Amino acid sequence: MRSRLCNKEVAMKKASNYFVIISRFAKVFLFAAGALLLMAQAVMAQGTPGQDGGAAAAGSTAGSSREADALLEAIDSAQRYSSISYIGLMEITQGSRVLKKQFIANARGSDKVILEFTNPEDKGTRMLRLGSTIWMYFPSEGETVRISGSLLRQGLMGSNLSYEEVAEGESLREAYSAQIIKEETLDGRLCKLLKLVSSRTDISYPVLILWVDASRKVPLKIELYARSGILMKTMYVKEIEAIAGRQLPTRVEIVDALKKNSKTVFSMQSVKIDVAMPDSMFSMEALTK
Amino acid sequence: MVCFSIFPSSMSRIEALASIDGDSTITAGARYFTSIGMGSSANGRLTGALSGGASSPSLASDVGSLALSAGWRCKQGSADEFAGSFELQVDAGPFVPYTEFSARTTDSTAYALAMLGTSLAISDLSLTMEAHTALGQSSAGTQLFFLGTWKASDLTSISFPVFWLADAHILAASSIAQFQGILGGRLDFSATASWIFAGSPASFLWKIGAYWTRSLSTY
Repeated sequence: MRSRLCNKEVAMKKASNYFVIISRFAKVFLFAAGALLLMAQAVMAQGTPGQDGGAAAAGSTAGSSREADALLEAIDSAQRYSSISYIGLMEITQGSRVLKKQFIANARGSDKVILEFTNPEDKGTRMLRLGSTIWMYFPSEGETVRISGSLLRQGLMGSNLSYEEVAEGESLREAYSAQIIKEETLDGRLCKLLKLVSSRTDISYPVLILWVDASRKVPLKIELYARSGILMKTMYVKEIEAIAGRQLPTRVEIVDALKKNSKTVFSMQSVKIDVAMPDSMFSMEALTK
Repeated sequence: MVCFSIFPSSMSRIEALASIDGDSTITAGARYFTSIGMGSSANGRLTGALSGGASSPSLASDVGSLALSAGWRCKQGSADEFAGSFELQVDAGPFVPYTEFSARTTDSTAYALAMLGTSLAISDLSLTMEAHTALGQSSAGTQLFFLGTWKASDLTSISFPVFWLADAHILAASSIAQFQGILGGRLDFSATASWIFAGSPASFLWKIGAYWTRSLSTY
């Protein structure tokens, strides 16, 4: 009798193991949303494309290259901060379905980020990025998972966003070269169009085109292209707020170019910049508290 | 239930818990979980990130995680039960090997479950392999799992999942090609073949399919 019970327990444990495997993959898919918002954050906070021109800018004039450099530097200096905290809201539209996510975000420098979801479905789920390492905590299982290897690439079935993108902590300046390609009016504002190109193979979007407000030095629209030249996503900056003497995009709409009626509206509230954040905010205790 | 946690370093945790159920079952256990980092001073050997603060350089070179747990359960009328487990995950270049081992014993029975796996990501190719097996007094068999994914282009990926369930005598292999951006959605082609060796002769099942989806339900 005892043996049978033990066998049953083994079977349950075995099933549980499979569930863990499945859930590992499922979780990564679920967290594509997290990747999306972090990418949006990265673009908003570090939307300061490369300034050295380089080989990719061959064909641009020296004048436009210098102007691009100056514009990028202006954007960069306006958006450079040591830390940021905010309440993030995400409204995900997939056809007729709309999902809403809310989270608290704290980031220090370019290598420490912690998010805590507060919407009922994901309440207590946390994500910690330390450099290129990503840790996730799922309160329902009480489980801490370190994301690495091929798991970093999961999500590609449904989205071109992946954990790898989240783990890319470097600034766009380090990855891209830039040139001004023309001027254009967008929503009644004069914009400079910046084309950012990267020759690296580990970049998710090798080409970006930014519509930068010429007077406020803020990107108003960003197109993200795959290496093949296909437009993957378009970001529209819907609201800009003056915070701590800077012009920050606080509401961004991200439209998927490959899926009909698929978009995410990402907004930031209660933004605080350059606030003190102790090391303990980016620790196992903060992740699993 | 009483649960107690301490954090000996910024990226490690020791947790102890004890509980008493309504049927007087007493359970007690402890778990240690930590990141593994390369020593910042040194010579490249694994040191375990036991002394690093969040600002320690060792966190930037975090290479894995380690978990140890042990538990005891006492139930009236039954023999005491002891359990322990070990989990390790380490980055080794493009490979990320991971393993789990758990064992459980009472006065007359003992069994263990072992799992070994690795993932690999090179260029446009991702591979995950995993094996499970049971040791000791158990009818559970070995299970093997393989998943290969090739990102053929920006919009196309091809996956090859394979399962081998030894106790059920089932081998299943699939190929799934996914094309994004088709009519504003994603088009999938799949082919699956399954062999069930439990009977004689072995039965063979196959299925091919194609479907298109607009909402990808990844959130």
